[in-house]
Amino acid sequence: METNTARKINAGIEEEAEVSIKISNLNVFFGVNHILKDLSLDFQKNKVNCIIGPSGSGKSTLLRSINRINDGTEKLKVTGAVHFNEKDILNGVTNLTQLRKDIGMVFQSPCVFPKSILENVIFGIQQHKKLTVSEKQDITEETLKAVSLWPEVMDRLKDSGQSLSIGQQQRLCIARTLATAPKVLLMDEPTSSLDPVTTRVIENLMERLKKRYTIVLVTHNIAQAKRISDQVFFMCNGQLIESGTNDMFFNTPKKEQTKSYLKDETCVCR
Amino acid sequence: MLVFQNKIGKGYVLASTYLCIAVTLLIFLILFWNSYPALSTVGFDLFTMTWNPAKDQFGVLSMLFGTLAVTAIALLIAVPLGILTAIFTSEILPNRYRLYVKSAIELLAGIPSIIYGLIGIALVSPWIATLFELSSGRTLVTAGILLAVMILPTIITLTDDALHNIPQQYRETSKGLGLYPFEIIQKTLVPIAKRNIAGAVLLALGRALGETMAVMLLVGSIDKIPEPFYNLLSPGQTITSKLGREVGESAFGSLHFSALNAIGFLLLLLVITLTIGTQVYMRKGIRTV
Amino acid sequence: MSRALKNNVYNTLIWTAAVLSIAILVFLIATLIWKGMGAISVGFLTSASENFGSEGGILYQIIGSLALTLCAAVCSFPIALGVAIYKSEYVKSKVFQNITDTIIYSLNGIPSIIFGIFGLIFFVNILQTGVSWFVGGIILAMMILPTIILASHQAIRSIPNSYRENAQALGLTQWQVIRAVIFPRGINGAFTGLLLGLARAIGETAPIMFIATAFSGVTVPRTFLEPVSSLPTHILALAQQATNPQALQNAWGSSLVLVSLVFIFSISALVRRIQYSKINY
Repeated sequence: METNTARKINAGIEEEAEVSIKISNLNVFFGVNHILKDLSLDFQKNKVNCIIGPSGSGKSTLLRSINRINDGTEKLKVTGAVHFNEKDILNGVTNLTQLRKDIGMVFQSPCVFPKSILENVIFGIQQHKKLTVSEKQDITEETLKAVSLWPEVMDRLKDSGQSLSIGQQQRLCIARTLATAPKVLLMDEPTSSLDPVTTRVIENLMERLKKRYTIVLVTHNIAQAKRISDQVFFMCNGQLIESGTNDMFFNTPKKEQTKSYLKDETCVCR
Repeated sequence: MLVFQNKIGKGYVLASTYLCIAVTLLIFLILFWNSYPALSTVGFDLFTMTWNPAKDQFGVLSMLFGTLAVTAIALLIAVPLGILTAIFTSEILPNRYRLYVKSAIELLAGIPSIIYGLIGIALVSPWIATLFELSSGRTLVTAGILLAVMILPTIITLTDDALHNIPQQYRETSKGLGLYPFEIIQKTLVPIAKRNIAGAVLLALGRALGETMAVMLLVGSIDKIPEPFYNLLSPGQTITSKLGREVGESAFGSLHFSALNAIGFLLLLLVITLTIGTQVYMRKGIRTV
Repeated sequence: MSRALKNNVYNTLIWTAAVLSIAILVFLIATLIWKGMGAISVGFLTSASENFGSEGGILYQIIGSLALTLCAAVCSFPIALGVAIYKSEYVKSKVFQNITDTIIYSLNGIPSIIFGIFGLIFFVNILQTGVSWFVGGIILAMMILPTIILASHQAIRSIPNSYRENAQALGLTQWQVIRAVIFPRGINGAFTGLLLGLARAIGETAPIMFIATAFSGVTVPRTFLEPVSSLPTHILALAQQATNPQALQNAWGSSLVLVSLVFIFSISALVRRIQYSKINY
């Protein structure tokens, strides 16, 4: 029900965009620090939703609130609502396991377990269900193809995942996340530890993946946001300053802070 | 199913932790509970000279003196020797040999104390007897010497770690200022590692205080303070040697047993205070460096 | 005194100390090997002791020591691993963290003779178990618990947090994260700790001499509640008859066997530690 109304309201502003994740009045406190200040925004389905802003603006915290990976951090308090699949996942969901399966996450630097490539790909999914040997093979092949890593590693799936180059490792991590069949991909600066060429590879990958998944990308790289985003959200000091489509945001920014940030990456906000 | 597994898992680790805590507290409680009869009836008469279970006299002064004397001798020998050797392994010995030497020393730290006792009784105490023309070589000094050898590896490895963990740039900077090697050690390295070296000595002290077997075999086991008291080449008694000799012979529930418990409890408090104190002291050291 | 001269004096001191220390330690080992080899033969290792140990071999002492050690290992390992995991994965509050630390350090600092007295009161007298190898094993297990906990905890702490986060983000429950990511590493560390602990446990005399061992007339235990004989207590008994050259000879032989067992444990621990320090985690 809730999503329906949300969809209607949204439909008034932007035509035929389907909302995947709806965040309303999200506040995050860490001790006495107010990290996210009353954020309300929608991430759209099958789009690259890009969050940009200077470091320390709360981008990662926002992302990490969506799959609740910050849960259990001492002194951290979260209020507000995040709706996904008609459910308020902040207050209504108790099964974090299912939630994180549905909302996958890729981190800043690749984190490959000291296991073989194949074992790394099925690391998550095999905890959720029993897999036969052939299923393991199939999942590995399918997901590695999805991240265009298959041709490079198909004949050495038994090798240690840590023997791969850093760009390959990051793609392996994405494959590992895809294997659990998520609906949303949260990506926290996934290219910040990669060189420009590999960065392009990952960006192309996102372009393809958005047809099947909702992508929420955090980046501090304005050029990258301009290249691949559909929707842009500009955050500064825990507040949402401005948001819009790629075209609107980069060509006709409305707020002074946005203009100044786009010009020389400086941002003055309280 | 998963939630269930989660709960069992948490239950297992939680139960382990509580069991560990319970065991530790139980040891303290049992020791205290069994020393209580002696502490309440004998009271401050514990701090007298005579130990005679037949007459319910339980004076522990001679054992305290013995423990103190033996430990002091051990530290006097082992601390300078250990620290200087650690300076050698850390600062003079080339790095590729260091690992081997250090591993060998760590292995030696594991030799059981009963074997030190055997070496002491079979070799060292006859030497002491002939060297100083004594009727028996089982003296406070003999026990102290063996104890020194026992704690030497501990002091060497811990001090070596403390020195070796100091970043190379301190040595290079000092060298660049024209300091002699000994001045680098004395003026630059030792002050930085001071806390950790002190920690090493305190840990060794804790081990020396609680050591039983070697001391029990070598100290002579006579409840007397030597005459004059600095004549350490005479037999004595330590807390641990007393416990080792007499606990097996006393009847559970008797005042004698309780008195032995009391000195055991005393030793326990002493060593635990020392150990925990050292840990706190070392942890602070890490923060300031 | 000039600085150059001072430097030389210091140098001489350091070299003297090092040579002296190393000479002492080499002397120890050389004595043990030299004296021990004279006593050891196949018959010595495979026959029972006779005439209060001064004759015969040490077969049942070896078996007894191994039984005690095995019992200590089985009792302590799962508990230590549990504590290490609880400490690193579940405890969030600083206060409880400090409490567990203090407890572990206290347990580590308790003198071995105190463990013996505790066992004598609690097991032999209060629980009425009598003198038994099983009780000895439990007491030794308590004694080596901190060593295993600390080694395991150290290994677990070296796992970068990103591994936990990544596993969590893939939808693993906390226990699944522990099983898949923490366990393999934690068990490795705990096993190294166990070897170190056993190296200590097998040589301990004071904790077991009142509660687990009998000096003579003991063979292989058939039940849990029987005494055994052990190498360290055997050496203790022989050392007290040091005037008898035959007994002394057997004491040296037993010592060499004991030290060899200790070194087997501690060298394996050392090798494991060097191996695992190379793994890139």
